[in-house]
Parts: sequence; C-alpha cells; structure tokens
Amino acid sequence: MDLRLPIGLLFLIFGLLLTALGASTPPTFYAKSLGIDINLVWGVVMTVFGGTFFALSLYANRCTKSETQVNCEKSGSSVDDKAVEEERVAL
Amino acid sequence: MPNIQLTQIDYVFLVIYLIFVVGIGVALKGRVKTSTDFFLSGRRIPAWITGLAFLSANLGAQEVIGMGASGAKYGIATAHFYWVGAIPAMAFVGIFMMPFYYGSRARSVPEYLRLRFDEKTRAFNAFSFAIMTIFSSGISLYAMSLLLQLLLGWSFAVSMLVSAGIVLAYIFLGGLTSAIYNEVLQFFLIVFGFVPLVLLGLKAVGGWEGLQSRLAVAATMRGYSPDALTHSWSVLGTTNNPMGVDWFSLTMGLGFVLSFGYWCTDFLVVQRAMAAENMTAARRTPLIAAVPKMLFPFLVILPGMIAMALTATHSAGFALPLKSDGTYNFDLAAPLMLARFYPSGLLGVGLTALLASFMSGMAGNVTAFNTVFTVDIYESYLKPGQSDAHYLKVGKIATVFGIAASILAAYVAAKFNNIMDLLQLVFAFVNAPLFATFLLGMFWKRTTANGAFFGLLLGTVAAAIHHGLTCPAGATSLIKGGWLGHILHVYPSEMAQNFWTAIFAWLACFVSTVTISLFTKRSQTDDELQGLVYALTPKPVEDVIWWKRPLWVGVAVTVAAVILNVVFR
Repeated sequence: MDLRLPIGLLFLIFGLLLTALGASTPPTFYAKSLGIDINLVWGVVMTVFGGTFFALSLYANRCTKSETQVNCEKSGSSVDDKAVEEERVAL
Repeated sequence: MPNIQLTQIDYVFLVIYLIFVVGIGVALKGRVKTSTDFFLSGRRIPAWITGLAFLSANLGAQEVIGMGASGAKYGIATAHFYWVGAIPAMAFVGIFMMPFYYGSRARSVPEYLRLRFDEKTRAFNAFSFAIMTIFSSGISLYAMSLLLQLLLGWSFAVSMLVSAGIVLAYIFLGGLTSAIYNEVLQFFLIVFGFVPLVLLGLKAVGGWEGLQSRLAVAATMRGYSPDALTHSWSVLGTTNNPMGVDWFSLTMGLGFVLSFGYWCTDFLVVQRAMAAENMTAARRTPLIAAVPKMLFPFLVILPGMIAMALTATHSAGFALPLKSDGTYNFDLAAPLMLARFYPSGLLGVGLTALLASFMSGMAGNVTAFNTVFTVDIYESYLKPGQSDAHYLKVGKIATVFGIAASILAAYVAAKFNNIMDLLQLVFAFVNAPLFATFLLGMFWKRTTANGAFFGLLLGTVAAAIHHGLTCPAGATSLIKGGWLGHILHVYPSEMAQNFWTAIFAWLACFVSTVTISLFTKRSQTDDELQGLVYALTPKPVEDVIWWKRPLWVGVAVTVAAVILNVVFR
C-alpha cells in the first residue's frame, strides 16, 4: 500500500469537511480567530494537500498495458513486494 | 479548572482519524510474515518515510506540550534543544554511525553491542533500555490522559484504555511498518494542526516585533534583561538567564553529550533508520529528518512564547493559569492557545493533532520495546534457537505485555508525581555514558569488551554520585539531588544540574573505558570487527552526484542550523 494513499485520503476528507464547515458558518463564528474564516482557509489548504498526495499515489502506481506485457510503474513510496536487495557495504 | 468545549463536529475529526489509524494496521496485516517484517519492516522502507518516522517517533507528548511550556518559560533559547542539540547529532549519526548500525545487520542497538563487544554489555543495555522505554511509554500515556481530563473532562481511565487499545491494535496487526506509516501520518497532522496556531498567534501579538516588545515586558517582570526571552545566545554569558545555564554547559552538556547520546544510541529512533531499504537510505534517514526538525521550533516553541507574551501584556483575553504555588502552569500553554484561537472545526483538527503526537510517542516506545525484548532478552537468554515463527509470535505477545506494563507505569506516575523527574534522571544516567561507549566502540578498535562494560557501569555510577552530591537552587525534595548527605554544589537550575551530570557521566565512562581497554585483552580479532569499526570498514560507495551524498547533505544541514543560531542569537 502506497503510504501517500491514506495520507492523501485523510487530508482530503478533513479538508473537505473543514471547507464545508467554513462555508456554512456565519462570520460571527470567527471572532476567536481574529475575524478570519480559518475553517474555510485552512480547509482549502488541506484539501489541496490531500488531493495532491492522493493523486500522486494513484498516478505513480499506475499500470500501463503494452501489446506484450503489463508495465507497472513502481513509485518509491510503498513496501510492496519488491525484491529485497541486500545492499551490503562494499566489502 | 480550564475547560475546552468540543462540539460534535470536532469529535467527527477525531473518530475519522482513529479509524484511519487502525485501518492502516489492518491493511498492512498481510505483509507481516516474518519476524524481520514485524520488527524491522523487512528492511524495505524508502528514505523519505523512514526519515519522517525517525523524526515523528521522537515527537511525543513531551515535545509538543513540553516545548510549548519551555517556550513560555525560556523563550527562544528553547530552540537550543533543536539547533544545538538535535541537528548536529542527527547529521553525525547519519554520516558516521549508520554504516555500522545498518552494515552490521544488527537487529537492535543492544545486538550491535553484542557483535562489537560481548554479551554482558548487550545485557546491560538491553535491560536498562527495556525498562526506560516502558516508563517512557507509561509517562506519555499518563501525561496525555491527565491533559485530556483537565481540558475536556474526559475520564482518566477511559482515555488511557482507549489510547492504549488503539496503539496496541495497530502495532499488533502491522508491526513496525504500521507504526512507521502512522508516524508519518502523525507528522503531517501535527504540522497542519499547529501552523494555523502560529499564524493566528503571530497576528495577535503583532508579528515578531510585537512579540519581542511584549516578551521584553515579561522578561523584565521576571527580573531578566528585556531581550532575555527573544535571544538564544547573547544571554548565555552568565547563568543569570531564564534557563540558568551558561554557554559551556549548554554546548557540552546538551549539545554534545545529551543530544548525541539520545539521537545516536536510542533504539527508538535508530530502529526507524534500520528499517530503510538500503544503506544510502539508512544514512539519509536522520538527514531527511533534520530538515523539518530545524523548522519545528517555529511550530512548537512559538505558541508557548506567544502565550507568555499575551499573558504578560494582558492581551487577547488570554492568560496562563497559575498553579497552587503561584508559578505559571506552563504545561497548559499550547493546549490553551489552541482553545483560545481555534473555532469549532479547526479545534477538532488541532486536538486530533495533539492526540496524534501522544500516540506516536507511545507507539515508538512500544515497537522499540517489543524488538529489544524478543531479540535481546528472550531469544538471547530465555529461549534461543527457536523458529522464526516462534519469535514472531513472541514479538506480538511482547507488544501486549509492553502496553499492559505501560498502563501500569502510567498509574505509578499518577501516584508519584515526581516520576517524570526520575525519568529525566535515568536518561542522563543511562544515555550519557552510552554515547562514550559507542564513540569508542565505533572509532577505536582497541576498545575491549571489559573496557566497554565496566566503563559503562562506572559512567552510570558517576552520574548517580554527581546527582547525589549536588542540587538545583530551591530544590525541596531529594529526588532533585543531594541525597548523598553532603551537598558539594548548588546549581542555578535543574537544567544546569542535568547538563553537568551528563558531562561528568560521559567523561567518567570515556576515561575509564580507555584505561580499562588498555589493560585488558581484546575479545575479537580485526577480522571479526569488519563492518563494526571505522578503521576496519571500507567506505560506502555512493554512486550519486556529490551534493546528494550524505556527507554534504549533513554539512548543509549543519550550516543551516548555524545560520539559524546566528539569526536568533
């Protein structure tokens, strides 16, 4: 499992929730945060971050089919079954 | 009692996060087939993940809450823990020590000691580490449950059992990989949970200038020079500053002994680097961690400083509460800042971030414990020669046992509230001399097993003696020191006493290890020490462009830390 998947998904969900909250609450709600609708602002930031990671996790691990074989691009973010290379210190 | 009002939406964030945490454990269950999978993630993790996990495992409750408290109490000088303490040590362990940790194929720090020295040295380290790590985990659990009870009115027992249960679930299912994945998730959560606080807080005080002028009021109120809380070096000429330390004890005690002792020998963090997919990744791990580590002061220390600034100038309707003895309750700085500036919604995120930091600290200790217990205690002394499947099962049982023991330790901490001071002490006693042992072991092939073992012992004893003969100013209980009857020296602060204990412990261990080694026989030949000692190990071949090599990345990171020190002097 690519780690960027759960990270992206969590932040996407959090971000969307916060954005929705920020958009649906009145400005008086934000006296605490110095008048800034911080839920909306930060919600958008988190959604963008989450979306980027999520997209990266899907894109980097995509499989493309050619005529003779299926090529799967491996990203550097998963602990999937790759051959365990014993990289010894060059002795 | 201060109280934070959570609404339903805040709880929604919390619940979603907890589902993800356990879900990661469930998703990784299928990958835990061997004991190496469980204890070391099969040594397959990419560097960016091990790097962030390296940092996050260290980021316990003590960090987020503690640094906020220290920021309020000591100002920007708290950044010394990062810019003088952590960064050089992280660069050092990545460049110079990882080749031995990773190259020796040791499964734990104590196991490296067995390979390099002998069984008794391994045993000393394994047992002291196992005990320390359970207490650390328990204290983390206790501190968190106490905070939740204080702030939210949650039942102490319920918070403890629920958090312990969740950590148990995801480690039991997915082993170290699960812990590492969750640590990286926790890292991002902590960043996103606290950045808005820094932004809002800075706006409330009027930027860095506003912060400086307000903290000048706070500093003079407490009897220091006006810039004492916003300068990290210029006040260290004497010990008349909030920390009560001078530049020498700071650089030698904190910068050298304590930091290097922790980052270079504590299996909690080293384990994450050992799980890396190859040698280069292992060496890069601490270096990758060093970059966000450098920026963390702005995330965790600033809110504390802002809290003090607002309190001192009676602004924004914020004030640090007082404890029953009239001093400020600094520990509440960070959580109360969250409560002051975050509306419902973001508050849920902030609180989840806080909880995440507690859990990552606890999980780190538990994975380190279950590995050291199974590999260094069970397999070495109780039941050697069993199948891998057997040790995998033992590892899982050790996880359950570790969590149960942590809960017990948490109750002990609740009963004796000086337990946290005790743990700080134990760290200085154990980690400080250990660093001397490793330094000599890795870089001087003449170090013998007897030298290492007795040097370690003498270093620990020296720490205890120093502590028994000195005490910090205004100490009221024997746990602070001076319990050997006669007090030779009074330090201006506990921190100063701690730093000097570490310095003496290190010196005692270093000198006695060298001396005893020169008088005892070597237990291994040069051949047996290949890959374990600097002079007998070929340099790792780095086939990347020069500026990507660990040495130069380490240099860059150290230079950046120096620049930060200069800017905030």
